[in-house]
Amino acid sequence: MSLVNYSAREITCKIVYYGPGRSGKTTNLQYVHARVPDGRKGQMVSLATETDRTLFFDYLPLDLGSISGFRTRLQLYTVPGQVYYNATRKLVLRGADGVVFVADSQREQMEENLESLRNLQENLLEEGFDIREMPLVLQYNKRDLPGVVPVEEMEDLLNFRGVPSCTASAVSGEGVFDTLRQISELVLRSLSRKFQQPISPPQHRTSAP
Amino acid sequence: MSPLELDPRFTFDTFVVGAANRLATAAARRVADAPGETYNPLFIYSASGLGKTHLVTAIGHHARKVTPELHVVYDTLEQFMGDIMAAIEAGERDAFRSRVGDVGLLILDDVQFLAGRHRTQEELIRVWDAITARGGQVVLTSDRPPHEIDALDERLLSRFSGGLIVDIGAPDYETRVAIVRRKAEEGGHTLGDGVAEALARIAFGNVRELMGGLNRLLAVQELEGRAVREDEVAAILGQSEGAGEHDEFASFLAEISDTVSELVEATAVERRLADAILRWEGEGYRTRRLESALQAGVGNDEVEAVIRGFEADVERLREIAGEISALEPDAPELVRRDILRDPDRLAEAESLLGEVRERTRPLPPPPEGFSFERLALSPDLFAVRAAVAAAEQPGTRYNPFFVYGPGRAGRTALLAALGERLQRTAPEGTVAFVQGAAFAAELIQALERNRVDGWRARYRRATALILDDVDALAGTERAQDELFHLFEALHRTGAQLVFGASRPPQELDGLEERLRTRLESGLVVDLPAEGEAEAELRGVADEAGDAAEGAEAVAEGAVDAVAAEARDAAAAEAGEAPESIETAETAGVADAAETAEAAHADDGADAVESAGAAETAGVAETAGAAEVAETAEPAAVEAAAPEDPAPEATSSEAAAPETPAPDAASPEAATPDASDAVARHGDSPDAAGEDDIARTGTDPWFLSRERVFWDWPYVEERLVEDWE
Repeated sequence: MSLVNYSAREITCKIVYYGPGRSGKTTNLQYVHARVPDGRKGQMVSLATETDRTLFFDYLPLDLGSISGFRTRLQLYTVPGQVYYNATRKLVLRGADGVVFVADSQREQMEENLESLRNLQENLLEEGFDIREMPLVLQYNKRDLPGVVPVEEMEDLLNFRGVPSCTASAVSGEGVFDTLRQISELVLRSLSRKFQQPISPPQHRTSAP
Repeated sequence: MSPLELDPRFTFDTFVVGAANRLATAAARRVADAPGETYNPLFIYSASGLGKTHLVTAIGHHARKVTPELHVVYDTLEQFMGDIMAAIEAGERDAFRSRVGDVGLLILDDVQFLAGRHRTQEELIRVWDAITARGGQVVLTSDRPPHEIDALDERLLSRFSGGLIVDIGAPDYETRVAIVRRKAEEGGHTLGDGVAEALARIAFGNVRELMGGLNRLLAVQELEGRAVREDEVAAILGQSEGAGEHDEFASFLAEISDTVSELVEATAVERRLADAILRWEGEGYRTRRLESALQAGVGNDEVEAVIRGFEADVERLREIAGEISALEPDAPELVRRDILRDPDRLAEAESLLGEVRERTRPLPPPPEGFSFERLALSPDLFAVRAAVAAAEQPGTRYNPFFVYGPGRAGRTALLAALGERLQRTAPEGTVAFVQGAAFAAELIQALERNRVDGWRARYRRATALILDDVDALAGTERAQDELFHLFEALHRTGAQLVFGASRPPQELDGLEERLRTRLESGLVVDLPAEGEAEAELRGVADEAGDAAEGAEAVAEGAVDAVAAEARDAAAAEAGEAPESIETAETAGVADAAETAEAAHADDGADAVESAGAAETAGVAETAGAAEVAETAEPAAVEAAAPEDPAPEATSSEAAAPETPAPDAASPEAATPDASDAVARHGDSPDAAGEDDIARTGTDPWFLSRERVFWDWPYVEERLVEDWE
């Protein structure tokens, strides 16, 4: 994937929503999809099981229009959260420009959050880059549920790298766009940094998912 | 046609340029500066309310200012096509089209309404072609790119896409602030601190909505007689604290837009390269080099050098294309856009130009100051007469015409005179005159410069080629090869070929056989050395006896069926006998003519020879020659191939072009029925002569007037053989 194509004046960013199963990744995308005017979005592709669990992945293309003469597009993906779909996760993760890690704020889900985060790190390493290099935003979701783990505790537990984080309640939409904005800016700024040091483009960006 | 007036408010000066419209504005300025020369058409698209109409109206104003005589038409598509249709209905289609043809700049707004209107599209194609054919500029606006206009005719789609397609995006925050401030200023209003910023922060979908917001604020200020405060803006415009659903995305978009703007603005190097790529792509040039630089990443200090280098190469490509076009407007090289529009292939473009230059370089003309009239040589010289004759029917009479002789100056003068005559009688033709050494040297030079194709094509333009001093080509390989192919090519086109050498072809050492045989396939004449010229007639008289011997040799040759030249000559004799009578008369040797006629009546073929000899040596030899011929007859008949029956062989038709094998000729010469053939030839000398030319390279003109010299080279050849 060519991230910034100056010849075609296009910017395309691939953002992957990662996290354990049932943490609310698809819900994030559905909320965004519902709020974006028709001309700005493609069809949201969801491959889900009968019980609405993401089997493969969701895909939502967003067209932000021409910004500074650049046609800017965001491609939002979710990975299937269940442990046994790791091959699909790796596939979706390939070529990602940024990751939103959607953590479930319920206490009983903390272990799964950690496991998924480790899995993210492993999969990124397999793809050949360090999680520290990847624009990453943590979203502490389901804040609307009773008895959720306090944000500080979650920060301690999950955000040991000190990346931007935000709370959300994807079902009501709270924090969804805030998360999207944060990750988008992070991705764009990371591009900006890369272009400030004009070296050959990162290898991992050349292959499409 | 009643086009709309250009709105005087919409100029470049009043257009606020931001990141989202910078490109469109730059393109618009270029078009306005030089309509029809850069992006044609310029297709601007955007959502409504972002300034398309303002920008294209500004183009119209600016173009009028820069080029006052330019006929500018600004119209909406609806209005314009309505005019066309009205004209068609009124039966004034042609008048309308001719009016439209004068348009130097056509600006059509909202062409998306073409969707699905086939007849309108048809008409637009015609109007379009009428305008652009005269170099007119077309500027179009639409709310979507061309390929998204439904049911758009492929021809229109390709026309729309043929120039530059550029979009205008929603203005970023800073631009929105600038727009608000400027519009307020233009109206003479004052906004409180932070009001413009507060207004700009609201995510309006387009500038028109932004203006609506501003108008509302200004109305509040006017009606309530107070200045609106920054914190009131959202409330006045009905923007609640928790933005609506649509607004959630809009504000996300606004914030992201700022970041994107920063990104692309921050990367100035890439931006600069990207602008250059876009510009040159728009003008039809390949931009691979710039794209590579973009991908590889070049430093700030390098980028200018890269772009300057690229632009210098583009400039050179333009010069090259211009020169090629000037040299040869229909040059096939001009369609090589893959090379002429690719700065990375500049070397190939230079090579194309080199080929065209080489090809169109004037061919070396015959040296000046020579003509048959001013020739120092005697006009009676056989070679001179033959040259004059060759010039009378170039390409058909003696082709090739080969002059040899030791006196280079005289030979060159004769060839130059021939060249002058050829050029004078056919001024539209191209006579090339080149010395053998120069020919070889030119080839080497062309090889060195890799311009052989051009060099070759250049010579093939010639309607006549005179190559003197063939001797210089002796021992060359490529030059002879090239000359061979040139010979074949020119011969096919009917160009006159003339060669000069010190010796006859068969005596030129180091000449390839295929070339040598071609050089002698026409007429080979001898030009005696200067000083010898006057003695020529005498010399001929002295040699008359030998000539008779030569005639013997003819007979012998016929019997043995060996020497091709001899047989050819003998065959010629069979057909040439009757004309020789007239020839002798015209040549002013009446007495000899009578004798010859008498001799001829008795003998067929050899009467020719005898006639030739008669002029200078008398009739006695003629009789002798005739005897030789007679004695040769039986053998000759034997020598005739079975499929070559005697009656046919005796007729001139037997010597038709389709039977060029010299073997067929030998019996003709000596056949006992030769006199019959002669008699028939006497009835139609020209036809007979034509046949003979086809076979032997000799010619009816020659036969009818120059009996005395009827085959001088042949005679001389025999003499030389005897001497040796």
